[in-house]
Amino acid sequence: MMGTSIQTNGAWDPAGWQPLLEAKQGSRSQNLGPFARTLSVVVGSAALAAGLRLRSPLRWALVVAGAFGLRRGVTGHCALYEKLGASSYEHPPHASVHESVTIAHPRADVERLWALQAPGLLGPLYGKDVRVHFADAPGGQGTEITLMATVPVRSGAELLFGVLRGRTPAGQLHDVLRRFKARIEAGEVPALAPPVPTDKAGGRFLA
Amino acid sequence: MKALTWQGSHSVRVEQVPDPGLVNPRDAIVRVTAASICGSDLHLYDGYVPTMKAGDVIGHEFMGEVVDVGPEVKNLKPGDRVVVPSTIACGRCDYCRRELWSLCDNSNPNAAQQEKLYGFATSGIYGYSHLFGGYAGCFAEYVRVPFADVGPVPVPAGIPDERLLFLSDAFPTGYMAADQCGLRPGDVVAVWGCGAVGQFAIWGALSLGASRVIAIDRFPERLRIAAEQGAETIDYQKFDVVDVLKELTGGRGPDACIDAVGMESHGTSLYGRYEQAKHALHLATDRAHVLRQAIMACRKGGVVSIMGVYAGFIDKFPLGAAFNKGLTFKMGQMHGQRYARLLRERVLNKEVDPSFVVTHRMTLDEGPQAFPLFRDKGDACMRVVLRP
Repeated sequence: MMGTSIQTNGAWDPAGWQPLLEAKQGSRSQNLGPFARTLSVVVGSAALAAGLRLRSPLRWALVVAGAFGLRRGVTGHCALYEKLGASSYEHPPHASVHESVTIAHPRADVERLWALQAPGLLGPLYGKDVRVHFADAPGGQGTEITLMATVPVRSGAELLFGVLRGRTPAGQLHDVLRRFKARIEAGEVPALAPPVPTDKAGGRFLA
Repeated sequence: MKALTWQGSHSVRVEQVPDPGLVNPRDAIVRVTAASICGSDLHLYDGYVPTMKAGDVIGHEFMGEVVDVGPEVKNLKPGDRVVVPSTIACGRCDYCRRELWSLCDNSNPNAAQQEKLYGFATSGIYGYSHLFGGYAGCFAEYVRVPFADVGPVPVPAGIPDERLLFLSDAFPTGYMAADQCGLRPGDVVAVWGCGAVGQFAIWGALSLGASRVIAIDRFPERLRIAAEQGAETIDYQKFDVVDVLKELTGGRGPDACIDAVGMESHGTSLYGRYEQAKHALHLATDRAHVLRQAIMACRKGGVVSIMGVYAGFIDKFPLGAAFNKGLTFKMGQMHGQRYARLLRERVLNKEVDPSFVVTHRMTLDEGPQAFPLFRDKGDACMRVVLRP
């Protein structure tokens, strides 16, 4: 069962469910690694607490130093490091997100229709690091189609926010595939109201 | 138009809502002539089904007249009389091709929501929560019918609505309950629940070759109707059901056990009260008293067929008994498009008149009174037919 891949950008990695690309971007302001951040938070908090309790001229010096250390740890940014061009921060890893569906049509049809419809279905995702892979499904069940995207690893808070909004990278890819499958198989996408423009597809995680 | 809307647990109200319109090319609009409150509507009414929103139009069992069709609907035209299966299916995906219509891949607009809860999405259902698509239901003057080229079943004029209406849901559901038992001649079938689905399961089991059907309920009128169909009956308030079923089957147990009750089984024992308390405390969503009984009563190597609806989670499921007895489980929302045409022919041939389950006829405006009447089995209510 051979598969073929068509890329919208970047290279297809057949091995791949590990991150495909090296980090291409990092935070412009973050230049502290996790250890330095943790240390800053702990020492800064202690200095702040001690300063607030102290009844001596040293009080405000400790409060300011503590607040500075706390801020340094929380933001991950150190102005001194920046001046020195130093950094203990490693660029965040990117993760590979992949979603698959099986479409009850021959592979040649599915590949041809994907080529035609991908721009509209992907909307703002088109041209980004989204790759597609086709393979024959066993038992004459049609075609397995897999979409794969490389996305930066988000913070826990961002991920939680996305899950609560129902907008995760995997969910966005699956939504694209679900709509494509419905168009190919049923001739229309199930809806409760007239369809929204396809350029509304995607979203902040992948766009 | 006028429609009966869900407002919260134990609250439905008649309201003015926007008329439906064609959304997709395979849509039709049907003017409802008759609809029925199904037992599974009670799960919505009682607040057991998640993802309902105040103002949702409910109801999924209906028939009527086509008034408009989309450009891709070539087999129907305005004026056609149709019965509409409650499950919505595209007719072209792998599941539909295998006649597993209620598992359709392409008819649930809220598929992502259901995938989170069930792993995969199933078909849409009219008026049956946003988990099942969020489609407006049939307790209304008009209904939008998606995939109208494969769903609605044309029926001839001159036959009363009530004889045809249950082709929409209850009749295929009961028949499927029996069909998926894989009955062999001579098999004994036990049916829990003698509401409309249970009655049609009894009819289905007998028509598919069961030598005996044993019906279990507590309402005398329902047991009487089951007996009139040819079933032996057990009032579960008076007997230990598992013991009696063993006795009635020479110690073997029924070959197939049909759960036509689902997640609101009312066990009147102390254990039943315990289940109600768990639900009230949100410790469980479904009450599986009947299902546990069916598993314990079923013969070794037998089939447990579940057509009463379950939505969420149960506890104390006797999996050890099911596993070690080698039971087979068959279940699911009914595949209406598979059975409705077959059963339509049985009705048109006068082999069966499904209207025997109708006990009450009311208007759509009387819907708020019909629900508690049906839920509490007041006035021996078994089925209410609502007309707009």
